[in-house]
Amino acid sequence: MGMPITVEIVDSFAMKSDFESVFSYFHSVDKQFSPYKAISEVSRINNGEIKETQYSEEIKEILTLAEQTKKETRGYFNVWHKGIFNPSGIVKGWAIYNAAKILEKKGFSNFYIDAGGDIEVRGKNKNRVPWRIGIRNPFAPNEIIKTVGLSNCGIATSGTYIRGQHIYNPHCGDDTIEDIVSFTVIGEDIYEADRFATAAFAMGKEGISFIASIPHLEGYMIDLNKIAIMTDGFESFVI
Amino acid sequence: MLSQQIKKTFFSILIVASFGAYAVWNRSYNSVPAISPSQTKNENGESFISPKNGSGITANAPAKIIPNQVIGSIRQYFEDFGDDEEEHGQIIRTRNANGGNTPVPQPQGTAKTPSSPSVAPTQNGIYKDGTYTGNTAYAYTGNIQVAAIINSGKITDIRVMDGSQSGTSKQINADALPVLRTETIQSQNANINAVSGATYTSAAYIESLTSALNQAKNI
Repeated sequence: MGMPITVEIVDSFAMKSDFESVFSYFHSVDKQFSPYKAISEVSRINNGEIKETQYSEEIKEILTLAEQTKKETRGYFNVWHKGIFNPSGIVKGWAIYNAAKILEKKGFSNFYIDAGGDIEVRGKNKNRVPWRIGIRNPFAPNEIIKTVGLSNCGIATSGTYIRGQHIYNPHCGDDTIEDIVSFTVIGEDIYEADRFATAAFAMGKEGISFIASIPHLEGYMIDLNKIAIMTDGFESFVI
Repeated sequence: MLSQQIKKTFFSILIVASFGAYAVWNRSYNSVPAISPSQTKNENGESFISPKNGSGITANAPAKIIPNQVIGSIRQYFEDFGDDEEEHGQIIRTRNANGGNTPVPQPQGTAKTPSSPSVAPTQNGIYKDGTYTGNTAYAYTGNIQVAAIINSGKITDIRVMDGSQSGTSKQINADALPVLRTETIQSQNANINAVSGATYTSAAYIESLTSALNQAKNI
């Protein structure tokens, strides 16, 4: 899928090359991790062309992080599905976080990086207030249903469209989760927000209680009846 | 009398000037466009298939690209996460008209908005009429399967198949929910910098659609 990546840097010393460094990083991640590219390392692992001993450091890191996430999410997060390795659910947040580190090392402190609706925000926007992030209406994708003001954290939304899409609960065989359509998580960084949003979404309605039980995470869950349930601390971000 | 007149004039000018200054300040402060229900902006020339069932997903009209143009400090491009240019053939390639790495201008605060139901990759005569169901494609934690309906050589509808009808998770227990704030969602107008929303099923959707269209071509 062509994923739009947007980078905005407020710090005045940002050069074209700074943006390019972020984009080329994402490009390299895609080349390595895309399950849809036949020559990617992930595809070659799935084709049996690469043995475990030959895995790159990045793949090993992702496998470790995925295993850790699986434990932290009661098994709801799983990069293995019917024997196929698809780490996309964790790579995106990880890559955005790493990209933010690239800009941080260059001395930038006021920027955001948005990859397909998952966003790491740092510092403030050009109006010197926290970045204003809208949450998309899952029933009408051109509408915003909530605006949050964020600094130095990550926000990710897992979800689906109103009908047709079925997300499977790995613990319930072929039972599908049809009642939750959108799950937004705010975390200390985008890596945390993204992986927990994915897992919480797979949990169905239970997901919001799960997010509420974890420190430093806030959640906003929308069900098929257009009812939203949010964690205690979520409201403090709402503008 | 005269001095009063001058005073009045002076105050009038002052009021007009301060209003003008406020207007200028307000304009620059609120320069981020609001997302409103009526706004139907098409991000970066990318069109969206918006099937009748509401499953909006990116499809691929030839993108209008202004190479290397930068607006403000924002830059954007399309990363090919999940694309297989070979297998997706025509569909993916048209979207990749921007070469996959050309920064394009990004209107601030633009939602990824489906345009009206439109199907970009269709060319007359390519597809045979009928209904074609694509392969089931894996979307991280679930599967997706779409069917393309071809009429007079054109795609007239794309449906996401219902798949399993076994209902909601048996594990869900509403009584177990802690006391959490609940509200009915409502769209709002807001000045925003960016939008968080789900996009991750697009790759699987396109994969399944492509296999359906390939069947339509080959039969």
